[in-house]
Amino acid sequence: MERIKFSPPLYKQRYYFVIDLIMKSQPKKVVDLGCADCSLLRKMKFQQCVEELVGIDINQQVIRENMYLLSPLPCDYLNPRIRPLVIKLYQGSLIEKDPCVKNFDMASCIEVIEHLELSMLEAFSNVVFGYMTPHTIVISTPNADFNQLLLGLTGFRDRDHKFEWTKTEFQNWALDICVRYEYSVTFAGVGSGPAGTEDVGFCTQIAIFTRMPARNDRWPNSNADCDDIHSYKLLHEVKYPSYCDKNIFENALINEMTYWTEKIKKHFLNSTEQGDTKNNVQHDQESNEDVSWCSRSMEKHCVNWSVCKSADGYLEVQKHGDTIHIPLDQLFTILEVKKICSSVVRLKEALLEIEQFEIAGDNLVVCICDNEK
Amino acid sequence: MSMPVFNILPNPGEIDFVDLQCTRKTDNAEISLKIKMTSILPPNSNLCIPFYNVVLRRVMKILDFKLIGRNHYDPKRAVVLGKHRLQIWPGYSACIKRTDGGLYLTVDISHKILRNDSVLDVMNMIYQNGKENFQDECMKELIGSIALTRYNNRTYRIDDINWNMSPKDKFTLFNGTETTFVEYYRKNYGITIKELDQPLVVHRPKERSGVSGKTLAGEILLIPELSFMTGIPENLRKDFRSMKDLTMHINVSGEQHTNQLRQLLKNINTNEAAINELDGWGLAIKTNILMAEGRNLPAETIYLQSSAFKTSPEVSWTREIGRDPTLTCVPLTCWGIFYPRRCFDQAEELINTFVKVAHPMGLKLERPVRIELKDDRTETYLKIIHSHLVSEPNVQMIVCILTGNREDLYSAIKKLCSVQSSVPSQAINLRTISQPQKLRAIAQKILLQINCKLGGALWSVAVPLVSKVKYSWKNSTDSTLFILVFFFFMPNEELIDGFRVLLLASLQTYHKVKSAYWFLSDGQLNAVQQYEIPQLLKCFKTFPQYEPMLVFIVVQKRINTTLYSMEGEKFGVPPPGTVLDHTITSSDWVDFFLLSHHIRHGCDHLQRLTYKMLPAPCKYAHKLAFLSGKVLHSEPSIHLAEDFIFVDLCY
Repeated sequence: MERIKFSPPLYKQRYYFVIDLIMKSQPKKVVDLGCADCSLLRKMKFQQCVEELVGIDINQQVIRENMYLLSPLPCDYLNPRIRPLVIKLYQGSLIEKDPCVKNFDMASCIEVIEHLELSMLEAFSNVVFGYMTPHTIVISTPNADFNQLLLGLTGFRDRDHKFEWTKTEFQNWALDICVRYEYSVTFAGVGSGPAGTEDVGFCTQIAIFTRMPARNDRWPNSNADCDDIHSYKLLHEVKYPSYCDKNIFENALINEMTYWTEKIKKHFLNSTEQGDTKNNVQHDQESNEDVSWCSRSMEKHCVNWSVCKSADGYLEVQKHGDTIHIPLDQLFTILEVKKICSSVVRLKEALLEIEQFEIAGDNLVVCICDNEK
Repeated sequence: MSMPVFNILPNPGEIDFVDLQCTRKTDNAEISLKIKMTSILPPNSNLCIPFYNVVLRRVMKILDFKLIGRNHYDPKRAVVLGKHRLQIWPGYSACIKRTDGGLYLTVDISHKILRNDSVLDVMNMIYQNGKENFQDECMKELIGSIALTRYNNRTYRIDDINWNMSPKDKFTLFNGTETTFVEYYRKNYGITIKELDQPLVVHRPKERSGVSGKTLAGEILLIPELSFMTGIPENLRKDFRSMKDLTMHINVSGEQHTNQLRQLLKNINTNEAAINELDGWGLAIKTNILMAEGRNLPAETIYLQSSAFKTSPEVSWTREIGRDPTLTCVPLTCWGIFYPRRCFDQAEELINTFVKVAHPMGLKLERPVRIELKDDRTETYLKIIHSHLVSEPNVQMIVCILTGNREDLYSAIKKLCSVQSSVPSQAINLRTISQPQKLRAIAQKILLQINCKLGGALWSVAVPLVSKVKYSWKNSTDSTLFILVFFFFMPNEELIDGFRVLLLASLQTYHKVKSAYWFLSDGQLNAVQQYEIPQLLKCFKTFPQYEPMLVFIVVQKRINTTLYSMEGEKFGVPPPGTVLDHTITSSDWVDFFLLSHHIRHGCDHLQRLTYKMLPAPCKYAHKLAFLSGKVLHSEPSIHLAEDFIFVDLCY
């Protein structure tokens, strides 16, 4: 029998599985139970839907060694998120309660349960399903049935595993959880064996639990009396730059507005110099290189000044003597502006608050004075 | 600025052996490990220094600085320049060094310019400005710039653009799986690439030897949409007013400089996690900046052909040079000046000015042949220059007027003239000769350089040790020769062979080399001391009755030590000629810091001598090393090595 090699490696396949789930369900609050070296957290943070990301592990040292890897990168400052993100790392035990991760949208528990003593499983289920009650929880564990396909393996796959369940054992446990805590479950896995071994199942078996809707009415404050017991220790907290932060929002908006108003100003000044009364941007002769991709995306940025209406994708402005009126909804078509402000109303509100910009009706007023010469 | 660092590590005690047992995972076999202590490193041993620098980087991370390249920057104090879509991030370059005075933390202020635009945005803007020559324009704008990737903390220099590939193409990962770029970024970073037809940007890392000794080369492909530009955009560089605006944010006075550094120290020493990190290695940073006493060398006298004068405090003697004849000069009769059509006026003006200033300087000059180019494309320059070189074998000098900062054109011209034809060349930036008020001074400077390149000597200085030391790039009459040699260091090539070849050639020609000057970079110091010096001494033995004194002067120009003078409480710039030869000097080399332009030299009794040699040789030496390595890409012919005329200072 050949040695089985997974491509991509099995641990990566597990991560991709969780990330796929996040992409599909778009959770806001996510916790990784047993985060260890924070590798999964580092992949999760790139998902723009996530607003609160928590990692818990019993091993303080491994978190401390890796926590700075979750700090914002330089580009996170250049290109802030639209929604805020806070990342928190705790040292704590999964058989103890702490209100910091109650009622999250999603929890991941990847290759963790097999490291708990069987006697602790009961307490674990109670804390996770009965107290934390995340909306969705993903649990993965080795599939003992697959071990026969792993060449040269005697005993457990890892010295620290306290048990390794067969498909049946895992699914029985999962179905029992569903009954007791009112969840529903679907089963999946990653890591297929060679052709012909499908009945064995996946190398890693996965259960996705979803909280039943009816549950909310019946258990409104699950174990609320434990809410003031904080047994986890906060090791690290980091806030990512986002447009929800007033300073960052204002700076970014001023940045964009200044750039575009300067561009418009410059264009009008140049065109009046050349005696161009039509105010149309002249495009040079067509290039014979294939840059169709460029013109497509360029149309979003291109500004063609025209007094009369023109085709889609161009900014229309109106010239009134010495000033130019740019309709706010035209400004809102600029991609970057759309990212910063959620709506035209918000854009107007924000611009009204910033002194250097003048608003008249629903237009931004730009004065073309030749004061730079 | 240096701050003293203390290091106290607890005594490891008497531990000889440590026995450990563990189990191999694959087959549960029992493995035993024995760890034996072989030596105790003193805390200030050179081997510890890299560890300390790792600790330092951790400390900077704890203080929330972002590491970009080698320096640390603070995004929270970023200054946003909306008009130019730029951000300036203030920061520090910091490292721990061992010097004569102990362990020091060397820190300097640094600023990083980051742009809000991705590489794709820049391409779009180029397209918007004119569709013709789009690919060429992109190459010009982007190649050489540094890009910062969105998804990790890495910066890459853009070396090329691959127009034939797109994010839809596949590539192979380390573990052998194939994936498309789109899929890879989606899966690993959750990023959806929007523009599927964009070209890819190429980075070629420098070749390095792999573990088995094979050279590893490879290409890294980057997605323009996911990479941010850094550095000042090309169009901004040309806009003087905006550049002034920009530099206002970057340049700091002596006062501000020290304040910012003191602030960093304060931040480190008030952050508990940072202190703990340092403490773990027994390190602590003192809170004050180093004060040391230096001394000032007297001003030197410069000798020209028939006059002499003492240098002024500003160490600039252009006016005197312009007035009186230089020491020796070479008549320039057969030379050509190449310029694109639109520079006609400036070229005319320049030639007229040359004729006007040449006579008082004692330079014999005939009007050059004027060759007008129909455009300013690189191929045009090269073609015309080449045909001129072929048709005029006696040409002494090629002068070219360049429009804009054209590094590739500059390299190409140098390569053509120096390597392929052994003719000295001079490149002049159009901008330099466009201001009529400054034209006279500029023309004088250019003529001086040209004279040097042709083998003339500019000035000399009295030296107590040797009768006269001349600044001469080729001097067949006097005893002292100034040799400049440059090498291109391939990863596994021996330094010495190339040098020996050139040295032998020069010795054969001149027979009386009294001192040799070899300009190197910092990392090569040890190699030179251990291998090259003994080999060179052997080399001299091949000449009978010839025992010159060999002095190695290592010139380090790009150092990050700034010295301020302190008068009472005020900071100022120390006058040229200030020498500091203790405390912050290296304990491995006999050296000192010399302020002429912040130079550090490597030999004690030549302190004064090297002062006299400045500023010209150091300025040129640095330029030469830079030029050789970057531009010529191959060793120039031996013949040319005797003349050593390739340096340009494009102001």
